[in-house]
Amino acid sequence: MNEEREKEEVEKRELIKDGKRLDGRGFEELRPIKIEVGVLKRADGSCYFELGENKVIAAVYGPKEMHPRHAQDAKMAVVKFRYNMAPFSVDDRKRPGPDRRSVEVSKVSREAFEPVIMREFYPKAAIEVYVEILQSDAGTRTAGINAASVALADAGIPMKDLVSSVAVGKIDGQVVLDLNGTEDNHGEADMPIAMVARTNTITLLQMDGHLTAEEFGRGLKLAMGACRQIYELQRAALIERFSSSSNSGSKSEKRGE
Amino acid sequence: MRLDEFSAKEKVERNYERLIYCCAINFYSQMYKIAVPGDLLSEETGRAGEGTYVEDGKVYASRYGVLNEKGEIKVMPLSGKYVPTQGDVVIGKVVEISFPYWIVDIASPYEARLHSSEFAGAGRGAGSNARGRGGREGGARGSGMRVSAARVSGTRESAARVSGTRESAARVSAARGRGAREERIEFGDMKKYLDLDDLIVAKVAKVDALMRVDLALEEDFKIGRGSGGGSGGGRLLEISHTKVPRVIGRSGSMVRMLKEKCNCSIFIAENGRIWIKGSEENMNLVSEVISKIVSEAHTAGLTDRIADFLEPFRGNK
Repeated sequence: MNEEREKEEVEKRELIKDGKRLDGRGFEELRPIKIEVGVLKRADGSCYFELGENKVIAAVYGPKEMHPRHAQDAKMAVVKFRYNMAPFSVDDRKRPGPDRRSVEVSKVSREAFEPVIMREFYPKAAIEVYVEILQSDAGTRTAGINAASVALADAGIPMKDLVSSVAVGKIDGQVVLDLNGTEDNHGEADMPIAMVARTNTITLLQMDGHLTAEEFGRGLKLAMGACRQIYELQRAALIERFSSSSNSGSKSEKRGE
Repeated sequence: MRLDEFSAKEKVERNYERLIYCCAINFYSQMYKIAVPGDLLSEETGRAGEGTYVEDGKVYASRYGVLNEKGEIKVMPLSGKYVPTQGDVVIGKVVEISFPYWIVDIASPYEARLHSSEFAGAGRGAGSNARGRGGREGGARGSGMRVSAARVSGTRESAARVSGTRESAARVSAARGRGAREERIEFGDMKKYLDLDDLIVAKVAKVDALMRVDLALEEDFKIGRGSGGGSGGGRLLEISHTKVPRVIGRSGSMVRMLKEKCNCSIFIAENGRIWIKGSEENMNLVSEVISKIVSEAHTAGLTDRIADFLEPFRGNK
């Protein structure tokens, strides 16, 4: 029923009704976020990240030996980043394998991390980041970057800071935070941004659509606030991971009997 | 971490509550403080230690791990790959023979190499080694005890100095002098000295800017084959090198206790490989305890808890 209504609204090109968005959010509100650290046993670091309907898993391997050898950098580690959408992540089955879009997303995501990873600690080595999109609903690259950031920390890679990412956009003439799928498809602009929340250092900024300079500024400000929130969640998830060892404590007691 | 579905603003508020709650838990279960990359740790740049970096006159964390603010401010990571430093004693596995080197895997992004001249002249030693692998094992145990004891006696440098390598270095260099003329190892013979999958104890002799790692053999270097001890018994455990200090304990208390209670010889190398030798039952116990130490490496009072855990096993030797 909700979907039907949503469709009707879209046909009327109404993405905002009574000052609220279709999913009931305010203009400056993020979708619900869930973060789990260390979900994969085989990877050196991993993270599961949910942003609304987006479900993303990130795995980090390394630093390890770089292959092929000619691609080694004698001064610092090479970061490899693969963003990949699962065939079942979208409505119609996506043809598996890299395509133009995922190659681009991989490239910009990699560059979003290169300023924070202390690559000079591992000359000639490779740090591999794999981001798998299990379910997508607009903003997968931002979710992927958030997940990869936590996974990199989990892998023990030295970094200057965590990277946090969010998208802002324009729907029905209104600048809003964190577009969902419908808003992205029918909105006027979408602008994913990644940054170091502490210093507001932007490491990724793309824009699809049109924004005036004033709107751009407003969007950027929104994104900064949201990245701060996401950063706090990332940090809390990492800290919580090592705050629950009560079960192992009780295990030792049981063994003792 | 699980966050239920509520709005972002509430979520942030909830997180502050959670943080306070975590602090409370930390206090009661003696948890260490965890640092995350980018955390502001101090404004005293003089105290910046491992796992930190200085920017604009402030000290920030560069690693995700346990914060130690006694003296130098350090963040001890709980994960991450081993990077060899000169003087480290490591357990390596021969993965390739490429004349005149053995290529050795040292659980690191960087492979190490061992030059065949490390053996030249020690031909007699190697020969006896080939003859009596079993006999060597006793030696390995002795060396293990010594090296790990030395490793905990202080800093890395002192470990390297005390680890009984002085005489072995002397032996090897003397042997080199002789061997250059007498017993150069031919390509086809390298296997006789060390074959693929052989496990060796070696010291990192040199690491250059391109991360080429050269090894020097330790005394009683040969400890086994594959992940087991081959005919000689023994077992190889692999943990993250970041947790080696916890397995050793403060001034060696943990490993000493393990050796006594489990009646095993235990050799801990700096690359996170651990060689244990004893009865099957005792080795199982040691593996179990070590995996327990690894999973609780971020908690305080670990030695006491392991002592409690081992208490009932005292008498069943």
